[in-house]
Amino acid sequence: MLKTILGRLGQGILVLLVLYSLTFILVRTLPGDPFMEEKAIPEHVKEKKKAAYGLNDDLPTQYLNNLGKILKGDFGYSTMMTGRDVSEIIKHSFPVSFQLGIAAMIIAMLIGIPAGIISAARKNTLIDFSTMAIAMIGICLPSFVIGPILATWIGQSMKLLPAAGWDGFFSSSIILPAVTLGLITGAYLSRLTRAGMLDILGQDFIRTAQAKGLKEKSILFKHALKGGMIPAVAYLGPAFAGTISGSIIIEQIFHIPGMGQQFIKAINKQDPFLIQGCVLLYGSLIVIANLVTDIVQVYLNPRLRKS
Amino acid sequence: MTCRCKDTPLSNESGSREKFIPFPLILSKVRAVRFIGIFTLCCLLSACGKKTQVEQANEDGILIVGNAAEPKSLDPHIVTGVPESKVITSLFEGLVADHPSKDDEMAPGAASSWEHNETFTEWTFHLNPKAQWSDKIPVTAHDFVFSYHRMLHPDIAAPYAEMLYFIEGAEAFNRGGNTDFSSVGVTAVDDFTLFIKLREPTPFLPSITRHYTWFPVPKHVVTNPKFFDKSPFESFTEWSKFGNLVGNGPFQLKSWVFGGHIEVERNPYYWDAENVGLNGIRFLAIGNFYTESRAFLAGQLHTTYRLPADMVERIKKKYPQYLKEEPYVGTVFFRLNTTKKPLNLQPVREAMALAIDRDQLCKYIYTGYTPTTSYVPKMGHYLAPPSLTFDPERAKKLLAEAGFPNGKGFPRLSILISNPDARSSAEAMQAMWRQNLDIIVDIKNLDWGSYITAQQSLEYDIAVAGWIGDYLDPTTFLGIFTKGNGNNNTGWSSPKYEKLLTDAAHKPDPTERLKTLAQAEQLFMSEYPIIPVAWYSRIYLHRPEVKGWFPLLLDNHPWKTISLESK
Repeated sequence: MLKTILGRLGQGILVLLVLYSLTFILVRTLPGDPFMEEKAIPEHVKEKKKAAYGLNDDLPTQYLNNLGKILKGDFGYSTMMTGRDVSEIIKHSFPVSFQLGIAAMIIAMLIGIPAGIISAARKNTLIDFSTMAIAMIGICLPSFVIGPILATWIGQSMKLLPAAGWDGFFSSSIILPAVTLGLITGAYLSRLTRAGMLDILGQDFIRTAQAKGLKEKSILFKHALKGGMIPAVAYLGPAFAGTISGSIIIEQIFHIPGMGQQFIKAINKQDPFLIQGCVLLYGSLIVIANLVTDIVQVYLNPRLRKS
Repeated sequence: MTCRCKDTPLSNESGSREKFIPFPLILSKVRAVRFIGIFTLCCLLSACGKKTQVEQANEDGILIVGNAAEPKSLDPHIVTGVPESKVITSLFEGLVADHPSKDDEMAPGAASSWEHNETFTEWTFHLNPKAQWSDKIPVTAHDFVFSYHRMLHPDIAAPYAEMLYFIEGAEAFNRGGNTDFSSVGVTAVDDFTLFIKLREPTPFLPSITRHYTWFPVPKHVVTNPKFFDKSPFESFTEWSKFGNLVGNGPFQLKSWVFGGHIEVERNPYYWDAENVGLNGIRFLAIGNFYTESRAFLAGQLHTTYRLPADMVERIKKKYPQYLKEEPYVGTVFFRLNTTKKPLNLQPVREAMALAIDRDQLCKYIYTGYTPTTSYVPKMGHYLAPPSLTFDPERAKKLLAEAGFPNGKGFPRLSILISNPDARSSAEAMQAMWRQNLDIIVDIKNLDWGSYITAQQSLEYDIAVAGWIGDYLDPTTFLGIFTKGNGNNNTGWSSPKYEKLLTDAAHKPDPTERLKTLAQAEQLFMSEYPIIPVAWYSRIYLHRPEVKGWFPLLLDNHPWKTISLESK
């Protein structure tokens, strides 16, 4: 097991190296430069700025210098936020995205898993159809539609919760963005849970349990749930990483000072160092999330241990 | 082995399916309804009687301002944007301060009085001896000299260093042609007297010193070795970060939530602290203007940065008391690449300019903006010269004379945009040119970098553009269309135009000077390197309890004179 984990970590490092190289090449081949302003900066000033950031060196030198610095934990200074280093920007913004992601995943699991179990238990009933119809609507409605509707309705008109802003994890300001972000994941999760549960509930060992006269509650939660959750768990890891990296729109709609906003701004402003920092962080997150998912799946499904 | 018991609760047969209704699930249904009910009740109860953020802020004397973006920095020497300037003007004060209601009037700032010679080339500013930094150290003329030295130093690579080129020798020092700062025309005569020698007559110098590029930075803090690696003139220094920053403005930094908000509080050591009307200001970095408007209507903001154009009509109907439409010193125009055929022909450019109905554009697209046929907006005593009108007949005639009767043979040009908001105006132009000139143009949407690069390298036909003035003088607009200026990007230049600008610069009589600048604009507009469309307006939401807030062309409201009326 340890060998497998180490192997996967090695693969992850390789993935990050490829990510770094691709990002480096793509950013450097974009038209324009990081110092484009609405009011053009004089050329002599621009040259000084490039020199200060080491952007006047030839590309191979830049590639190696940057890589060397990153290995030492130095992501360089942001060109967009003059004087701020990338680590500082990430240090301030990533925890916000992470907290929002956690809250969204909690909501997604609170909604998605019970909905999926209920649907599976009442297959082809009105409850099943209505739950899955709601889930389908949740999947189809993008967050940039749900978000403004919730913000306008609950925040602006009813004034029940803040329409925008961020006061931390344990504040009312997290509810609307987390619900918006969690709904879509919850909708997917409910469908996956339902499918997984139905698959298990149709198996022989469940029938045996029923024949033995076990209580329905016991069958459902003790025998079926563990196996029925496998597809949902496989989805949860990447979904968590996706929720954090995909909160860009939600951050804009609810004015959340997270990393998604910084990432988008960095791309618009062609900030090479901040783009690199964000890509590597998101990349690491996905690598780790996939690894954790695999480990949990092995725990849930004994057949995977052999393979 | 496919035996299936009839009573199997999980059987797929419909008869037995209904029997499987696990008790806990029925219970959970009741619980769920109860839970939702209690949750909703709690939310409603917590909302009932709870003050909105604005109501609370009114009581606390805190103004909540929508500020569009996270400031890149709070170091006045390395920033260029409006969001930065809003925060910086609360933390620092220049020689001269903005008047709360009059664009042309100057209020005393760090300097309590000033005088000039007859030709407006030598200025002496007498600093207020009571002026102090927020760490109680006096503000002296040496701080100003150091600031201008730092701003112009080539190593710091200040993007807005050009704003100081009015000072004699400043440009040469900034470009590295002269390394001796004593040759630059700024001297501290004594601790409280600053002498500035200019390269040409500049009667509007006090107005320029209201721009943050002319603000002082605390020499004793910036030169503290713990805030820099090699030199205080380098780009990456720590002095302007939270916890280190010291200013001389009416407010001081209280908190800074990165990407969220910046809050400032009263500076007790400010020389006019007793007349500061607010206890603090919270600047919210809300980049999405729909979000900002929602937050305003939810009672989270006193004033917004901008109201999206498509919301104006709805706000006019539902919340007219909040809507503000005020002139702003900026012009929307279409930039033409005069090096490209057939835009290299003046009659073609003129025909295209004459074929635009600006009233319609401002009625439906640039809502609230003022239609214009001249480039420089109204400011002070400057009179924009009379220019073209909407004349489709003459436009057609001119196009025919240029060799394109009824648009025949006219190449398919494209309008360059980078902002989704610009698409509607480009589409309107498309329609007007097709209708009035029988020519077809395309729309080319590029990302920001490609949009700028295409213009700088003259690889475009027509581009939707705009220009906002930095100070109230026509030169802030006319100066960019000189040869080699990084903001020209039309390929057009004229020695005659530049001579007129130089002549104006050397005229000590302000009236004569403005007349010469008007001639320069007339010449410029007769050549049509750009097609002006509208003068900007600032359209935003604003709460009536904010007092001391008046329309200003530069939108630089002096924070210290603003107050809140608590109901």
